[in-house]
Amino acid sequence: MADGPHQIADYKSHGAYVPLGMLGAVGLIMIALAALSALLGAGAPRSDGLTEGVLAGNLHRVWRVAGFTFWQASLSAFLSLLVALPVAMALWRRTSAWRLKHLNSFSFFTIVMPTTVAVSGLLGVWGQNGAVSFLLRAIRGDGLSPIYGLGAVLLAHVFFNAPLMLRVFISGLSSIPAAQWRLAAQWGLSDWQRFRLIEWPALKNLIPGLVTIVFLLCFTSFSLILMLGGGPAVTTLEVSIYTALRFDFDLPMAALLSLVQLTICAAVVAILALLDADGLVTIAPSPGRRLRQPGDALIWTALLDAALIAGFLLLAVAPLCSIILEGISESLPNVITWPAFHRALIASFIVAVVSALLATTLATVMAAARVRFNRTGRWVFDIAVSLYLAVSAIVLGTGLFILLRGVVDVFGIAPLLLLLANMLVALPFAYRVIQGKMEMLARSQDRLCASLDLRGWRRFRLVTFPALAPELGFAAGLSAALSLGDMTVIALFGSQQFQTLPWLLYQTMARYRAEDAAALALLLFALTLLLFGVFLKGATLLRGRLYHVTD
Amino acid sequence: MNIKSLCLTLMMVLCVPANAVAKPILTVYTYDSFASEWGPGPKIERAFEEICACDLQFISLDSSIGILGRVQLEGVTSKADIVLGLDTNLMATARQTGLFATHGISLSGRTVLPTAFEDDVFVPFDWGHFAFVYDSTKLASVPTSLAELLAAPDDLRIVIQDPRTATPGLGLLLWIKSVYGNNAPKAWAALAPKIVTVTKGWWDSYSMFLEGEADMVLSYSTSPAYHIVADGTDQYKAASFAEGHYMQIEVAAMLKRAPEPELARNFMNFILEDGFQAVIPTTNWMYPAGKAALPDAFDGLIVPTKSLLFTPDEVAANKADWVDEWQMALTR
Repeated sequence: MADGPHQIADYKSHGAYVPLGMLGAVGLIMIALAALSALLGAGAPRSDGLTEGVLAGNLHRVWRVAGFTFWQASLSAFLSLLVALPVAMALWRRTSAWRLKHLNSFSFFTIVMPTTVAVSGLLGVWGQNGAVSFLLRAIRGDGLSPIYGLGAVLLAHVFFNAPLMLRVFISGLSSIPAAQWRLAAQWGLSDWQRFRLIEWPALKNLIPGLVTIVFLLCFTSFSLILMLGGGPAVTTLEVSIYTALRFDFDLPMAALLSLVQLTICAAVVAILALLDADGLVTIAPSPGRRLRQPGDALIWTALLDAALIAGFLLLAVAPLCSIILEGISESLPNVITWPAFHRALIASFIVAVVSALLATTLATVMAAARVRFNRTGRWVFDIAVSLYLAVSAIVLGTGLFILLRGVVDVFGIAPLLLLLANMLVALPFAYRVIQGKMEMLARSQDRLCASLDLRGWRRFRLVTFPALAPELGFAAGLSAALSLGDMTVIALFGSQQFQTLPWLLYQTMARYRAEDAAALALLLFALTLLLFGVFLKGATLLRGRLYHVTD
Repeated sequence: MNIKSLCLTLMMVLCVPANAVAKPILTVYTYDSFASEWGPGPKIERAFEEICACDLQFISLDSSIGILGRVQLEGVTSKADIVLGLDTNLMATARQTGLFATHGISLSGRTVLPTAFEDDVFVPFDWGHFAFVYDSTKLASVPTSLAELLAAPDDLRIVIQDPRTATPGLGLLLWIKSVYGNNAPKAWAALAPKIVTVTKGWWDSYSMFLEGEADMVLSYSTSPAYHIVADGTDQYKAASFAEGHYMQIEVAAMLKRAPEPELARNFMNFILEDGFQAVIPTTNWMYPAGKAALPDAFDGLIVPTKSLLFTPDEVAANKADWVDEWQMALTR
C-alpha cells in the first residue's frame, strides 16, 4: 500500500464534483451579489438632493422598524428558552411516562408545519371563537379578548421555537453519561444540586447557539406578523419591505430596508458560525435514559412536572388537535372542489417537489466538492451556502424584482422566481444535513473506493447513495416542507392567476371564512406531512429496493 | 436530463394562460370584492361583452391601493388596459405616475354626484360616505359622533383598514384629519386601544366583523342595504356621526400603454352607461355615479348632514406625512 495516498490524491483531483461544486458556489455567490447590487443601486442616495432628502426623512422609520424587529426577536427567543428549559427538565425526569421517541417524532410536526397552518391552529385555540374562549365563556360568561398584536406574535413564535429548543435540550440531556446519574442517586443530590452539577453543564453550551438561531428565525418572521400583528405597531423588516414594495411602490425604501435586514442577519450568521452551532443539527437519534432519582417520587415534584407538561401540551399540542378537529367539517369536501384549490395545489406541489430535488442535488454536489477540495479553500462552499441564511427570501425576492423589472414581466415568470427562491432558502438546511455525513463517508470510504477504482457516478450509485440515503431523504423532505410553508416570495410575486396553497389559505383566513380556512389548513398540513414523509421514507425504500439494504 | 426538461415543460404550462382566445382581451385591474362572483364584476362583464365583441377580464387584487402599486411595479410590462377602484384621494398621486391616458369622453351632464366632478383622466363610477357599521342586536350604546367613539370605553372593538393599502383606510385617516387637524395623532391614540386589527383590504375587515370578531367595522353608510336585500335583515346599521362623514368617489382610468386602447376607451365610456351604473347599487352597494334608479333598501339609510372631502392635491401633498403620523400614533 505504499502508493495508497498517491492514489487517493489522484482520485480526488479527477472528480467531477469539484468543478460542478465550484460552478455551484460561483453561481450562488453571483445570484446573491446580483440581488445585492440591485438593492444598492436602488437604495443608495442619488446625486440630486431631492432623493437624499426623502431618504433622510425615511431613516427614522427604518430605525424604528429595525429596533422593534430586534426587540421582538429577542423577546421571542428569550420566552422560548423560558418555556423550553423547564419543560425539557420535566419531560426528562418523566422519561418513563413520556416516551421520548414519540416526542421526537412529534417535534417534526412543528418543524415542518407551514406558518399559515399554525396560525389557523393557534386561532382555533386562542382566538375569540377558539377553544379557550369557549371554556371561559362557559365558566365566567366572557371569552378571551382579541389576541392580535405583540402578544399573539410572541405566542406563535414560542409555539414554533420552544419545541425546537426542547428537542435539542433533551438530546443534550441524553448525552449525560449514565454514571453521573448513578453517582447523583448515590449521593442523594437535591434537585437544585443535580441541576447545577449535572444538567446545567450539559445544557449551557447549547443555549447561545439555540438562542441565536431562534432569534434569527423570529427576526425574519413574515407571515405570522402579517396575520397576527394587528396593525402598524407590530411589524418586522420583512413585512415593511413587502409593504414598501407592494403598496407604496417605494423601491429605495424597500432596498434600504433590505440592506439593513441583510446586514443584521449577516452579523447574526457570523455569530452563529463563531459559536460553532453545528452540534445543534446533529440531534441524537435515540436518546439514552436517565436513571431514577430519589427525589422523583416526591409529590410536589410530580405535580410541578405534571403542570409543566400539561402547560406545554396546551401550548404545542392543542393547536395541532385544533387543526385536525376543525379541519374535518362540511367545508372539507367543498374546498376540495374549488378550482382555485386545484390550481394552488398543483402549483404548490410542483414547486415543492422540484425545489426539494434541486436543493438536495445542489447540496449533495456542493458537499461532495467540499470534501474533495483538498485545499484551505473549503470555506468557499460553506460561505456560498450560508449566504442564504443571511439573504432571506424577501431580500432575495426584492433584489431579483428590482433586477428583472423592466426586462421581463416579473409576475409572468413568478413560478420560476418562486422555485429559485425556495430552492436557495432551503439550501443551507439541506447542505448542513448532508455535509456532515458526506465528510464521514469520505473519511471511511475514500481509500476503499480508490483501491477498487470506484469513482464518479458509479461510486455515488454503489457506495455513497446507499449510505447517504437517509440524509438525502431528510434534506429533500425538509426542503419540500420549507417550500410548502413559504409565504414571503409568493406575497411578492403572487397574483390571482398564480397562487400557492399557503397564499390561498392566507386569503381565505383574511376573509374570515373560518370553516373553509380550517379545511384548507388541514389539507396543506396533510400535503406537507405527505411530501415530507414520502421523501424521508422514499429515499430509504429506494435504497432497499435497489440494494436490498435494511436498517 | 429528462427530469429537467419535464420540469421546464411543467413550469411553462404554469406560466402560460390556459386558453388562448381569438377575441381581443380587455384587462381590468380591480379590487377583490368588485370582481367577486357576487360583486358587480360578472354582471358588468356580461353587459359589456354583449356590445364589444371582446373578452373582458377582471384581474382582482387584494386591496384597492394595491392596484396602483401593481401597475407601477409592472411598469412597461403591464398587461392592464384599465384600473378600476382608485378614488379621488389617490387621483393626484396616480396622475403623477404618468402611467394614465386622457379618456377623451365628456362627463358633463352624465354624472350625479354630490360635488362637481370634471377630470380628463379619471371617470367616476360610484360614490359613498364612510361610516362605522354595527349590529344593532348586539351593540347597545352606539356612538353618535367621532368624539363619542374616541371617548367610548376600550372594550368597544372596532376593525379598520390600513390607509397604505385600502381606500376606506385612507378615508378614515382623512376623516379624522379633517375633523381634528393637528390633534389627529391624539385622536388616533384614543382610538388605538379599540382597534382589534388593521386589515389590508376592506373585505378582510368586513368578514371579520360579520364573524363577530369586532363590534364596529369601518365601511360605508350604504353597507346596511346589502343586508336588507341579500339577507332580509335590517339589524346591521351605519352609525351617523355629528361631525359629518368623509366622502369617497371611486374612479377608473385607462393606461397610456393599454394593449387595447380602442376597447379601453369604449369601456371608459361604458362606465357611465346604464349597463354599468344600474348594477352598482345592489352589487357594489354604493351610490351610482351616473343616472340609475336606487332600490328601496337605500331609502332607510342614514344621510350625513355634512360631507367632508379634501381636494386630490391636498391629499397628494400631505399623504406621506399623515400616514407617518398615523403610524407613529398607533405604534406608541
